[in-house]
Amino acid sequence: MSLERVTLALPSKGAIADPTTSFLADCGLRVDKPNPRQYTGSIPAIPQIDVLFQRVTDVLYKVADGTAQLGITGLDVVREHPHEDLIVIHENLRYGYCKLIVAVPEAWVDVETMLDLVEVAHDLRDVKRRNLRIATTYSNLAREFLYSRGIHHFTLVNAEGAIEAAPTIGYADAIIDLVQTGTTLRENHLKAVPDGVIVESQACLVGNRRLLERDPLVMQTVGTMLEYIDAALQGREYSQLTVNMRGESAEQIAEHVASNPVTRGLQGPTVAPIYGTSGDGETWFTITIIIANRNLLKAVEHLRAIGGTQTTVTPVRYVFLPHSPTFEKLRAAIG
Amino acid sequence: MQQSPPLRDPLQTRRARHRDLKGVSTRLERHLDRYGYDRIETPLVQDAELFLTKAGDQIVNRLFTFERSGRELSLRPEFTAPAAHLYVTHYPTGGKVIRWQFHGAIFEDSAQVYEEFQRFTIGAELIGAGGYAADAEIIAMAALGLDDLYADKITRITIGHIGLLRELLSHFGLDPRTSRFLLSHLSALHDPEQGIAYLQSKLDELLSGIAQEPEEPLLVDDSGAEVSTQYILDVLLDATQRGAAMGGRTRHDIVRRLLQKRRRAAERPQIAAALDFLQAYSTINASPDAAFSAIQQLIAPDHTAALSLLEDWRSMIDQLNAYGINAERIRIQPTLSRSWDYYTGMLFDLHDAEGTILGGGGRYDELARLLGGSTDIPAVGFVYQADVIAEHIHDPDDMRRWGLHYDPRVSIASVINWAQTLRSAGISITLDGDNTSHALMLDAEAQIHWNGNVYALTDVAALILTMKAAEQ
Repeated sequence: MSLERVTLALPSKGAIADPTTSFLADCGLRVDKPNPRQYTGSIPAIPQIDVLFQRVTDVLYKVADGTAQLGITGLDVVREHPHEDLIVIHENLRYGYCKLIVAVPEAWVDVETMLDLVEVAHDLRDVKRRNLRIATTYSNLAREFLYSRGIHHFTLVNAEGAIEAAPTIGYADAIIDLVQTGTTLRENHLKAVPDGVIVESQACLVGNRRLLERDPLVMQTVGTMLEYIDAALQGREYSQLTVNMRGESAEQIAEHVASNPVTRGLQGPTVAPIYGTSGDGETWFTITIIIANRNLLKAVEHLRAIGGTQTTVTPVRYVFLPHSPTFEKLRAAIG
Repeated sequence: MQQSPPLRDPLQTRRARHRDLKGVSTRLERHLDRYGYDRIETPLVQDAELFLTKAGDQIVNRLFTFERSGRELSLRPEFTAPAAHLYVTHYPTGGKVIRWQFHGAIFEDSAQVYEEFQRFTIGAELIGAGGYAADAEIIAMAALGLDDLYADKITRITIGHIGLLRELLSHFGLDPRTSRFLLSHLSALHDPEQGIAYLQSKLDELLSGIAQEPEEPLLVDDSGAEVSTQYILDVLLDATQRGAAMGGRTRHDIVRRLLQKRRRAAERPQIAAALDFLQAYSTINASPDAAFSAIQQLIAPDHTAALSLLEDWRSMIDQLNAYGINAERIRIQPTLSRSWDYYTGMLFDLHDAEGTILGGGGRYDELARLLGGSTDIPAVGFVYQADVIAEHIHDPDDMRRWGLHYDPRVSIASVINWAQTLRSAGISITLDGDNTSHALMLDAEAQIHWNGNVYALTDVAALILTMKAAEQ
């Protein structure tokens, strides 16, 4: 039986909860939550969506078991709890950046690499007759990473919250945890092991593979979401630049502007005459081009050099490409 | 039109497999019993630490471990550690010689198919007896047991010696961590994609951080170096408050390891020499005479401990000959390795001509002490891969299942009477059974038809004689 509504699970609390609603609003997908104490909401731009607020790990479970068909959570959570029914639709929504890393006490001046930690694990085993103890909530990723780096004798200490304090209190030797800025690590006298980065994470959009394959409404809904998301993320890369320039004709102006690839825009410059402005008999034109942000200053320099004045720059909200690239990728993956 | 092959009944395959395994188990139990090995049972679930104590790096992540009420437990992955543990529980100071055999399932997460997580093995352990005579007893017993099963095949034996290799490496004066690294990566030597170059690159990686340190002269003696370094570290940590978090290590632990790292910076020439030696040593794979001659050439004449081990090894091969195992069945491969770290001396594999491993074992003198014994206790053992063996053998027990089919007009009481009479004579019989090797027919007059003859119940003795003959 086909679904009539699509449920999108979003984080209710934690580091990516507020950034998620802000991100969706920036994409044009404002989330309405009628009551802050309720766990449901809606997205007026896509009326068939019901929003369900859950903790980040529960977002994952709800999508995996099909209670929600789509969800936004952290990539670290997805990697920690892989599920065959779960597909990562968009893995870089460009917020919620963090890293899952191995950290040891700063006092361990002899430990600079994971190979040092391998030896410390051996020493603890040989001399103190015990395993290296690592506090973490990411037991699957931690185990897999430690094995892959040659640490085989360790005990994972499951801890919820204040993991960074474990080596100070003494119930663990090292930790595996998420870091954003590293401030908490430093405050707890810990240091990251440079080659101990397990996952570089950010927010991602996930879906239930089985329901995406089976239910046209889910596929159609994710298609609409991805149009907004791709266009908005693409829009962040560009600015609209408007400049006035004196010249003989629109063609001549366009030729000058397009002579530099940086100011060629997405398709080419738009050139329009300005009527009745200077009174000196010269013809003025206004030029509009879309410029990649990384080329902005180069573009302004070139326009100045060819006589451009009064340059204004405005952000671009959306860039809609012929197709949503992420949706095309999803269709190929789903088959 | 080409006919497709008949589909195998999976249940029938499973039954046949079980019968083969049971047959193999029974016959090997009898074989080991003839050498005085008593059958002992160990629990399927035991403390994980028992297996982790000397689990090799390659095996530790394949154990099935789980936690219950704060205890980390493991499904039994082998019998050796439980045997050693059982021994030290009863004889903590050693002195008693025991011969035990074990039969049962072991579990290892090494397969893609969950059914292969569980394998059936048969092991034997000789604990409390040292020397090459015990080694020879174990190897001979293991190989001759397979000879009994494989009448038409000769089991090959490959023998190595981790104890001799350790002794030879000790002559290079390596840091114990470097020696451990080399010994735990021996399998790379026999992997065509890895080889000595792989070991070299891993060692370079291990030592790269150290090589980048400034080449300051080391303090002359260990105690002086420790005092100075400890002082510097104390000042550093106290001044910066970086010593607030220490995990479970002390400042002394850190100082000691810092100094070890510095010492290893000067170890590269020894490592290069050890790798050259390993390269030559790992190519030896020959008959006993040729191999021992090649090994001897790699031992320094004044390395008496190594020469003595080699002499014992030679004597052990001579003793195998007394058991009827000639040297042609034996290959010497001195870098043969195992995924379990507890082996300390001779190691061996049993395999068929195609190279399928059917069993193997070795000497493990330190394990009992590591598991709580007060001293090293000599011990040697082996394991048969019983399910692999059973796949290669069609056990004669398979020929001993009879089906009793009957005319619907005969009374069921007569059918049962016949079946029970035959069962009491040791015949295995199933009413109306399919998947049987022979079928008897009971007619309306309650007489058995078999092999062209007709037998009444009064003729049962004659019938049983012909049935027993058919079973042979």
